Amino acid sequence: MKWKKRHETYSALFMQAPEVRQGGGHGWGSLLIGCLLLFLGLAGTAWAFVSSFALPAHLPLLLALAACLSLLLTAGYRWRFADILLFLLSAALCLFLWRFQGEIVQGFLCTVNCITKAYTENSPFEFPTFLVEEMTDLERQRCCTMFVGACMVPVAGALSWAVFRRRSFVCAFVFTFPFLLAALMFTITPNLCAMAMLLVFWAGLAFLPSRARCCVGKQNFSSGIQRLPAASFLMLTLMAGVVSLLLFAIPAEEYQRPEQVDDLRVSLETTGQRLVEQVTNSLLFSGSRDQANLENQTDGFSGKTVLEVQSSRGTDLRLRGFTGSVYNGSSWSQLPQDEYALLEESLAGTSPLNLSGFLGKDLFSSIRVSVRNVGASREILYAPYALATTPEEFPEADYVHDSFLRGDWLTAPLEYSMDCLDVQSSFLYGDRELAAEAYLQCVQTNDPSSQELPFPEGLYYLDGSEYAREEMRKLYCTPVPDDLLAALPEPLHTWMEEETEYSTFVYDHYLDVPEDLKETLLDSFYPGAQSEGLPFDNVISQVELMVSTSATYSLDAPQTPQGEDFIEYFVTESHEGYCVHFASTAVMLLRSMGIPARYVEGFALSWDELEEAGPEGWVEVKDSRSHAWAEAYCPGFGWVPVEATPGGGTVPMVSNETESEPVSSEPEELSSAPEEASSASQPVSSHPVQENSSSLMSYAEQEEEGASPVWQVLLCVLGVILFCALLVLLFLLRRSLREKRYLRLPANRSVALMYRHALGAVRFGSEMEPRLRELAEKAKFSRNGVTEEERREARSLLTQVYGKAAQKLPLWKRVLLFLWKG
Amino acid sequence: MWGRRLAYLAVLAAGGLFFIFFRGYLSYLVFLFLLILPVLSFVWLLLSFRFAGVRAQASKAAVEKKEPFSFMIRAKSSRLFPIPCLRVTIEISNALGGETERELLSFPFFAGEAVMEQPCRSACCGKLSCTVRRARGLDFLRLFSLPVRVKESAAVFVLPSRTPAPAAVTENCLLPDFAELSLPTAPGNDPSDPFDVRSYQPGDPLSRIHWKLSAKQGEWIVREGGSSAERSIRFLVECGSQLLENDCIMETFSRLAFLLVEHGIPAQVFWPEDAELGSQGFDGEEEASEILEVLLSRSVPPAFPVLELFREEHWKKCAHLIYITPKCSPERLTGLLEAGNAERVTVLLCGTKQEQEISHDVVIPVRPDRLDDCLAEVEL
Repeated sequence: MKWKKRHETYSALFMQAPEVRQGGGHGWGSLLIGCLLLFLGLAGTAWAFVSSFALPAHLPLLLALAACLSLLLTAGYRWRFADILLFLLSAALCLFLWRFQGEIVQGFLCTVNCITKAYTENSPFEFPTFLVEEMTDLERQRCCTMFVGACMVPVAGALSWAVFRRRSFVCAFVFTFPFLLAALMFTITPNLCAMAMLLVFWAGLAFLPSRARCCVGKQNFSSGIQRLPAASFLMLTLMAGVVSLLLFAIPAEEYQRPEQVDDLRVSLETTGQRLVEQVTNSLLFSGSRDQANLENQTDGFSGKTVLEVQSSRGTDLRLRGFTGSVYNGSSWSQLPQDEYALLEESLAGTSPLNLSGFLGKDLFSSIRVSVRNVGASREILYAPYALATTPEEFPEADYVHDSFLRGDWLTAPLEYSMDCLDVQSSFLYGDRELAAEAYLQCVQTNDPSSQELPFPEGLYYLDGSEYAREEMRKLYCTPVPDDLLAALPEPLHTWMEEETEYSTFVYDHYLDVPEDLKETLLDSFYPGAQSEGLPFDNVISQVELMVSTSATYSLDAPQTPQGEDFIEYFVTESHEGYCVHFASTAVMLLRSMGIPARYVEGFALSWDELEEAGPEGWVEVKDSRSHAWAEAYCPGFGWVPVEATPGGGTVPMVSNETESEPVSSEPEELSSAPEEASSASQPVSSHPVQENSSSLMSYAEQEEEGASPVWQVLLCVLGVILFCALLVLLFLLRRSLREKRYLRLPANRSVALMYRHALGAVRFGSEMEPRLRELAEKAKFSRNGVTEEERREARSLLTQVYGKAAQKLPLWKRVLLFLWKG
Repeated sequence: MWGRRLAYLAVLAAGGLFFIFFRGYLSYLVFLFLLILPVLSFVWLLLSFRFAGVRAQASKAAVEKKEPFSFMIRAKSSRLFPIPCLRVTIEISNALGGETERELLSFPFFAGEAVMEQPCRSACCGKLSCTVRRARGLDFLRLFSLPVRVKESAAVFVLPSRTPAPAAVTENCLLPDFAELSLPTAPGNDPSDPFDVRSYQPGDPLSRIHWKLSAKQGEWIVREGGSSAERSIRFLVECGSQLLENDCIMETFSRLAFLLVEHGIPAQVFWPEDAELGSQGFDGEEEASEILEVLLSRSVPPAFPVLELFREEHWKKCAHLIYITPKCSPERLTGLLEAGNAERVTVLLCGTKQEQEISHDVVIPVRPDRLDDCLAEVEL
């Protein structure tokens, strides 16, 4: 340590770093405590890991291995051969891995399978599993035990360093917590005794201090690791006693979580969600949340491409994302999960999203839609209407009831393809019985276009009167007559039954409108009674027309004042809005009229874009193309989109020419806003198409060839070089740390360490420098100790000792000396 | 400690969040454990701090300049419930120069006694005191602290050189009247005999024993110094505010004093002490050392007219007045020479900057780096 001298004023007082002359405890006591701590940490980690995932490993053997490793490493640190012991353990581990590689691999696979099984059981996701060889339980146990045991060796090495060399809680925690985190992430609880061991281990390291410290002005000095007194055992015992007391006083079986904590959790989650929504405005249209806040500004678009879409047929395509069912005045959210319980029972495994797919590929042609996610949220898998791909065919997706397809942010596929049906709008009868007859006719003639049934008139009344509602209810909830049902072949027969169930569910759940809002909407759009009813498709068209012409399209719509309803403000006061406003209004208007409807966000592509791209081409979809629309349920058919935004392209619905209103395909108001980053969703058909040029390369399918032998060799060589480089770096780092230590410690201690280091070379056959021994004795025994000059002299003598050793020794001993002593 | 408290609060908050969001029993166990840990730690501290204590010790009582020495801080702790951590603040100060160094020492978990040694050395003389200002016992988590009793302080005298100065010592260093007062009929008829003799009393220094008389009388006779006013040489030592100056002053005085001791010439020393002057005579090594220790222990005095005080109270006829001071103005010097009653006056300006020197026959500038050369000009 350098003599300290102040620079501001003259000071005659020179002080060295203080030294701890005596204190601490007994050397053996410290070792035993270290050994105990190491065992607690190692055994606790192994036990926690094995118990969390129910690994078929032999636990007593693993605990015995933990005990042996603890004792070995303790002895290594006590008699200063820890480095070579770790090296030997590593070599033994490598030999063990090489000799039993088959069993280790099987053990690894079994372990991974157990982990993925536990993850699958404790989460809504499916995790892949690996094929393992067929083996008996005993063999499986042996393989798992060997694998876990092999993993314990490096962990033991790391933990021993943390306990003996550093006595650092932070290091020990970093080495052990990941094994626990792997389980806790999926709310899997490990064995409580193992947790108790880990808690005592961590608390023990946090409690037991390691070094004496001195602070002089701005300089800090610290001593080496101090020995621990025997009272440390008492302290560890007390801690273990506290944990045991907690376990016995309040056993896990009798534990009841307080309700207030759950309430607190819910309120924290809600607050967190709101904060996230406020921060991430651009997530409004990407549907990556379970709620869509309508108040957010739509200025978060950057113009980047978020999807690439390919369709085998050039028709209008709507990719559905988030679906909102419950309106609360300022946002849309999904129906509560428990509402679906009865429906899922009655549908007997069929996803409501696939009901249209039951119509059969015999009746309608199939369209193959491929989506490539290049920038959108991975939590939504955008799917078209009339989805024919079942959950079994698309296991990566989570079919969320009747709403949308959800992916996992981590494992969702970036490219996926789905089949949907090119459903003819001529089947939008709006009457189940009529639809069934039409289907039967098509099946019998094997021609979807051959049905000649007339569209019903006057089925749908628009004024929301009691009579109208009663008629609507009959339309939605009345099943097909039994004789007609019996005549339908499979799968149409099942489809009709299930469609009826689902239609009833839809009617019961997708008609909620606040009374005030209902009155406002009906007064605004249907001020007088409507004596005549209309066909379903005409109703849709009329709603589209009424809503789209009721207000001006504007991206700078005024913010809804606090306390006011979003839709009411739009309809009665502002008369300005964008697709969100129009879609929400259309949904509520349809519901007011007694037609079940809901709110959808996603992307809409026009037929001309897709036709131009061709069946092999990809259409780029930018984030500014995010769109919102309404969808209404047609009994006997399914959900149909309702485009109420001015200028928004709709799916052509050509039906009865006499009664139907012309579809508003001409935009009332074209949006003049440039297609810049600040623009919100644009009407689809008035939007210049971002043509997909042929230069866009689709992802080449990976050829399932193995890497060539040349690459393998190169990889091996590179691996070896990297390993050697790593070793060299490690040794250089070690040497640098040692040099720093020599400078940091007080002179006497530093010289003593240098002498001890020189003894290492002596063991290899070198000779000790007499002067170095003299300095070491002076440092150890003399009252005054050594000076700075003598410390420098000792350092150079140490270099000489090793220099002489290097000259005298044969090459292999030199390498060993370098590896061991650096 | 505040850092540790914040860290613990962060850990507790994490544990709380874990308890709220993880519904299992494990989260409850972990959260309770985190709550209980500080309680356990504090209880241990309560049981241990009463048996802890700290004191300071010095390895040597007196050292020379630049000679290494050390202060030992000894901490004591119970064996059954050792104190988890002992934090001691010590202050090492030099009374002469006023410099102070503060250190914060931290003793980890130990049972029985722990010693932390602080090696020091000083380039200037003075009395170095090591005082334990504050000792607190901390718990394992460093969240709480309680005071620990402090026992002793330690001090080391860093002495100036005792090598006699190369000054000239003449026979005229004694007053004529003093020589005349020697008793021709006194036993031994030694012209250098003091004014008076008396019987030995316990505590009298051995250097005062008049061996000739004692041999003749058959009992131990000691020389009596007589009144301080009749000493032939007087030193007036005035310290300054700078450490270097004071070191030079002490060095000068020490070497002159031991020169006199070597020649067996008694002298008297005056120094400022609070609002008056302290004084003591010496004629042996031991007395000179005592005076030196007193001078080294004096803290820097407030500015008051030392010379004037001396003139008023102690100005009596003496052979030689040696005024050792870091500064002296021409007016003071003139006053000293005109009103003084000393046969000779020598003013030694120690450690003074060159531009502040006064040119006069009686003034000898003394530079710390050329002490021998400067003192060689002094004639006693």
